[in-house]
Formats: sequence, C-alpha cells, structure tokens
Amino acid sequence: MLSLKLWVPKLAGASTCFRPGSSCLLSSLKVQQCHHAAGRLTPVLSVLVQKQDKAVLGIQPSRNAGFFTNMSANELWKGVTGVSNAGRKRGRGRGAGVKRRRDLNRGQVIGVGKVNMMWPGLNAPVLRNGELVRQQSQPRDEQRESRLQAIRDQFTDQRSFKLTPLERGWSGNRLPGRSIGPPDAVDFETFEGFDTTVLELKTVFSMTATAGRTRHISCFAVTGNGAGLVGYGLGKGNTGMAAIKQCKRRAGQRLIYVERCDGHTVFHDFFTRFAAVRIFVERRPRGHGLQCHRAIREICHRVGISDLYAKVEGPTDNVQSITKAFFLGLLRQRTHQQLADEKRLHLVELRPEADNYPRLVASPGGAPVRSKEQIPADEELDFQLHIFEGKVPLKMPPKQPFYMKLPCYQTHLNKVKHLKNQEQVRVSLLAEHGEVRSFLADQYPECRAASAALWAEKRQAAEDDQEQDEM
Amino acid sequence: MFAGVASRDPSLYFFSSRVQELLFQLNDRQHDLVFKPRKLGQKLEAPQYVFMTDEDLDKERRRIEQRLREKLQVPPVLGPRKPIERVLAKDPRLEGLHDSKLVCIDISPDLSDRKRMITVREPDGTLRTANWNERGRINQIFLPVDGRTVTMPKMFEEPHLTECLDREEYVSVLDRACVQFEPDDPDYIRVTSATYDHVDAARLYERLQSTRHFGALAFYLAWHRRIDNLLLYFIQLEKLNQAVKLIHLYRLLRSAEPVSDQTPPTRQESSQSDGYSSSSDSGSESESSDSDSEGVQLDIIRDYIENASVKRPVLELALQNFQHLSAERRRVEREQRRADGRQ
Repeated sequence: MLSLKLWVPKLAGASTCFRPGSSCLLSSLKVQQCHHAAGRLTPVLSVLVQKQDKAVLGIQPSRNAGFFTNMSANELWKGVTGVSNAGRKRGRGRGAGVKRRRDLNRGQVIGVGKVNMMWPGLNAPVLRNGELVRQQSQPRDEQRESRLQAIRDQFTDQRSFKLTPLERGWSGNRLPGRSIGPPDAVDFETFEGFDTTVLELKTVFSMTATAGRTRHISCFAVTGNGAGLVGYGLGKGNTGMAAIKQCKRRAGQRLIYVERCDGHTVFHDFFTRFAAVRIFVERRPRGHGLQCHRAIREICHRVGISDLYAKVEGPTDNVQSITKAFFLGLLRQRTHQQLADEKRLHLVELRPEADNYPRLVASPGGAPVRSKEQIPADEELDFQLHIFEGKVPLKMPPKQPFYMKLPCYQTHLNKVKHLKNQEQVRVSLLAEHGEVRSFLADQYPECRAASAALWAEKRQAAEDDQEQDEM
Repeated sequence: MFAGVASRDPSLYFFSSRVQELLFQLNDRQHDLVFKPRKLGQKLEAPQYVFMTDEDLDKERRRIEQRLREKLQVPPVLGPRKPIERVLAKDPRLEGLHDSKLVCIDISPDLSDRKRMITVREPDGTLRTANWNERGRINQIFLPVDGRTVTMPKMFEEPHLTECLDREEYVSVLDRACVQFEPDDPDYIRVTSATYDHVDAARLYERLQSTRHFGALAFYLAWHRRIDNLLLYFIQLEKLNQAVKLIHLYRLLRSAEPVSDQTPPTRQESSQSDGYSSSSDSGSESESSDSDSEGVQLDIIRDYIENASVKRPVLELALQNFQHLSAERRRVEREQRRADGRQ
C-alpha cells in the first residue's frame, strides 16, 4: 500500500482551509493550503505519490480550492441570480426565465460525500460493542449524484400555481375577478353569506415633497350576499395585503340594499351615468344570463341579479366609475309598487309567452286609482317613456354583412335554396326509415347506403336463411 | 269507440249549447293554468308593462274571459266518417298507359279541404274519388297544415302510444292528435279513446283540468256511461257543483232524443228526462244559501248513486265522508263565531 505525503508550496498571504472529499486518495486527513486572492489562478496543489519505500513516483496536479470554496452560498447565488438596481427597474429578474437559487445542502448528510467513508464520531458511532470503530471506506454510491440532481430539479421550476376554472379571475393568476372571501367579522356582524370580488388591483404612484415618487397598491372590490345587500370599497396600502384588507373592510362598512324584481333582475330598463361613463341597462327574462361588462357582471353576482343586459359607453376600463354609475342606477330603480303609487294607476304585466294575460302586479296604495278623465291629455302613459322620462335610447339596427346588399347574394341564395331543408329531411328520414334513403330504394335496393338499418336487414336475412337450412 | 254504442251519433248531442255550457262549467278554468307560459322554442323577451285605469282593467278582464272561452273550446266529437269513394268513370282502354296511380287535386285556396275535389286514376283506367286516407295525404302535400305530417306519426301507433300514455304525457298526445287528425278520423277516435281510458284508469283527471281536453274527456265518459270514477273525484275534492253538472250531462246524453238548441231548458223537461223529483239546471241555479243548494245537490247525487251508478258502495262512502266533514266544519265555524261574539 502506498503512503502519500503532501508537499504544498507556501505562498505569501496564504491561509489554511479544510476541504473534505478531495479527489486524492489520502490515508489520513491533511490540511491543504489555498489561495484567497480573487481573480488569481488558484495554486496547484502538487501531490507527491510515494511508494512505501518513500521513493517519489511523480507529481499529479489538482485544484482543490477556489472561489467556490472561498465564498458563502449566499454570495455565490447572488452572483448567479442577481440583478442590478437599474435592471430591476426595467423589470429584469422576474418572470419565466429567471434563475432561482437552490439549496444544495438538500439531500446531503454531513459526513457523506463523493467518497463514501465511515467517519467514527461523524456518521458512525465511535464505540460499537465496546470496540473502537475504525475509519472505513465503503463502496461508492453510484446513485448519489443522480439522486441529488433529482432533488435539486424538483425545486427549481415555476412557483406559479394552477387555479381551477371556478377560482380563476379575469386573466391568468391575477387577482381582479377573483374572490377574496367575506369581509372580516366586526363585533356581532359576521358577514355570513357574503363574498367579495376584486375588481381592480394596481400600483399607483404619487409625488410627495419629502420622498419624491412614492409607490402604493390600490385595491377596489365589491362585496355582497347575493340577496340584495352589496357594497364597494377602495383600499390603498404599501403592500397588496394591506390594500386588500382595507378595501374589503370598507366594502363591508358601506352596504346598500338593492331591490330585485322576482329575485333575478332589475325592475325596468334604465340609463345611468357617473363621470364619463354612461350605462344603458336592460331587463332580461329568466335564463338569459348576464350580458354585460365583466365588472358589472361581478357586481350582479354579488347583488343576486342573474339576468341583465348592460351597454357601457365611454371609458370601459375605468372600473371605479362603472361601478359607481351602476350602483347609482340600481338605487334609483323604482319598484312596481312605487311606480303604481306615483302614477296612481294599476300596473299590469303582459307576457307574450303567456298569451299576454294581464297580470296585475301593483295597485296604488294610499290614493285611489285615477279615472280616465283625471289623467291630463299630455301625460306620458307609455311605460318605457315614463321610465326614461321622455327620452328614448337610440337603438341602431343590427349591422348586416356587406354582401347582403349585392346582387350576387341573391344568386347565392337561389343556388343553396334546395339545401335549406336538407337537415330536417335527413332527420325525418332517419326517424321514419332508420336511414337516409331515396324513394327509389325499394325499386333499386343496390342504391341504399351502408347504414345500421341495411346491415340489420342483411343480418336478419342471413339468420332466416340459416333457420331455413336447419329446417 | 263512439261507433259501437247503439250506433248513435255523438255529434247530434255534442253541439247543443246546453251540452257545451255543461262542458265549459265542468272545467276548473284556473287562469294561471289556462294561460301558463308555453315553451314553444321561441326566444323569450322581457315582459311588457302597461299603466291601466279601472276601466282598462275591466276591459282586459272581459277580453280574457272571451279568450278563455276560445282556449277552452272543446275539440269536436264526431262519429267515425263513412267511406266516400265512388267511381266516376271506367276506361279500360287506358290500361297499361301508366304503371302508377295519378292523383288530381283542386288547389283553389278558397275551398274547404273536406269539399275540394281529389280524384284518382288507377292504372287499370278507373277514375274514382280519393278515399279519406288519400285525401288527408294529398291535402297535406299541396296545402300543408302547420304541425301535421303526411304520414301518421309513429307515436300514435302501438306500442309507442301506450308508452307515451304510461309516461302520463296526456296533454301532448291529445294536442298533437288535434293537429294531425280530423275529428271524424277513426285514428283520432282511437287515440283519444285510448288516452281518456288511460286517464280514467289512472284517475289523473287533474292533468287535463284547465285544458280544452277536459270537456272532451267528460263527454266521452258520460257517453259511455262510465262517470263513476270522475264523480268520485269530484266528491272527494268537495266540488259538488261539478258533480251535479256531470250527472246532468250524463242524463242529457242518455236521453233518446238528441238535445236541440231551440227548446229552452225548463224545470219540468229536465226533471222528465232525468227522472228526478228534485230539479236542477246547470247554469241557472241560484245559490241562496250554501246549505240549501248543498242539500239539493246531495239529493241529486244520492239519486244517481242509488239508481244509475256502478260503484255504488264507494260513492256512498265518499258522500258520507263529505257530509261528515261538512257538518264538522259547520260546527267549528259556529263555535268560532260564538267565541268571536263573546270577545
């Protein structure tokens, strides 16, 4: 067995450091010297391989020290992943391609390394059965590298999480459109049945005298219990969490009660405006759904309105103005009873699908119903005109495609006329005969297309023949 | 089947105004069922609202009464039609000219479908008028009626018809039959009879209540002298008015002479034809006090049960229960009034 002796040249400013697991074969641990100066090549350690009879066989170079061993993990990772302040302003160091630091200690045990050895006192007991345990080398663990690599790979990739479709907001994993739960309980008010949706989450800046450009997060949300109670709130804070908390609290503090017709829609069409935003809202029948701006849709979900049409004109991105306009409109609604009272006339509902049966929905409460003579000639009795106070929403005719005016369109229609009823004919043929077949099929059976009906007949015929033969 | 019973023609009885009024009165006529929203695949719109004075409201109510009468008009009950084929000419020299029948139809729009000329030239040269089956098909091809098919839908054939009835889809079967067939079509009579028999067996009369088919059902049962189940239904629901009307209808349809519109109903006449000592008339009965008219009604019902009913014990028991309940109710009301009076 060879005994080895290390000879390390002493350099100015060098200090000693210990590095376990070196690739040299050592019969005993030896302290090696390494070089700290950055930028300079690390000193080559010369290893003298000696035979037992102390004769030097040769020098084998190896580099066992360097900036990997001189610097801490934090410093090393900062060097790899770090982004300058200027770069950070430009948004570098975020997103999909960013390098993430990994803890290389994960999966490693102290005392176990590339060299698989038993170190008594470190990864093996000093005494076993009263005997001193000796240092022992164990067979190399072939899987170690790949195992460590697998563990490290686990922790590198996206920290982004997947949301289910029901949890998802308006875009990506971002908060607008997502629920943030009910407002926090205050005293006796537990906000049972309430849910809050974030409508806007943005970073805002303001110039201050002392600090210059200051950054805040602004959060705008609406809360409601789905049964008419609803409120909106705006919160600002240094962090997103602070802003969200504040806006949720405020939304819960500023609740209003909105009357709904039949529990699913508004009482009548209306027009409303706030700032530059104008909204035309129309009542829709049950089952229609919410055909409107996404912010209005969220508000309707919170209020408990399930069928509505709304057209937003003006700045459609100003969610706060849209919300305020819509709230104003909801508050200004007049219930059927209120309409009957203010007009002192019966209010009757006519539904075309129910043969226009006149259903009395409200009669004036306090004062008696007016007679025809008591109504002035110029009074507006039309329901829609009364609601809009004499104005009429402009309804443009639906835009037709440009080609419908051209004469070639008539030619096209004539060409495809014979195909217009094709689908219905196919369905009725299938219903009657079980297959699509012509009236000539009886006369010319070979023209029948391969179909379930045809094959069933053939099968039946074959079975009949078989029975005949058996008999 | 209407043909079977004594070869009487139900249409002679059906169209009389007294029978029609009885059929109308037998119906519950609940507005929210008669005018219920119908799902016909149309795009729904938001409802319209109108401000109305008292006068406008009364006018609308009168319009609705009129509309109710239209919607509850009972589909006509006729006996099965007689064959109308007759040979117009025989031309044996035309034999071999064509290998299929030729059909001619007069498509003038102002003609009635039943009266317009439809003729058939057979391959052997015979010229004849079309039979009813051919008439129906050819009329539908050239002057189609919306909702009707040229060939009879499979749902009216067995076993599909029984399956539909087992699923209790009575109104849709009857509505489609009204669209598809003429009232004197033997298939119409077969389908409607099967439906009414099924309803009667299952006692699901409320399915046809507030529809136009209830009158037809009542007429069918009264014509075939099977009103006991329906009578029991009315008694159990404490609808004595309608029970009495049903019995009156039964008597009218049993009379040998068809009911005519000319002679107005008199008390003697109705008592003679009904065989009653106590007389009652369908619409003109005035209810001076509840218990009086109830007594009269009970007499009529008891009379029928004793003389003409098939399920006598069941009906008697039901009537006894009703009387018992009625007496209890009156006693409780009296005590309530006394208690209120004391207060």
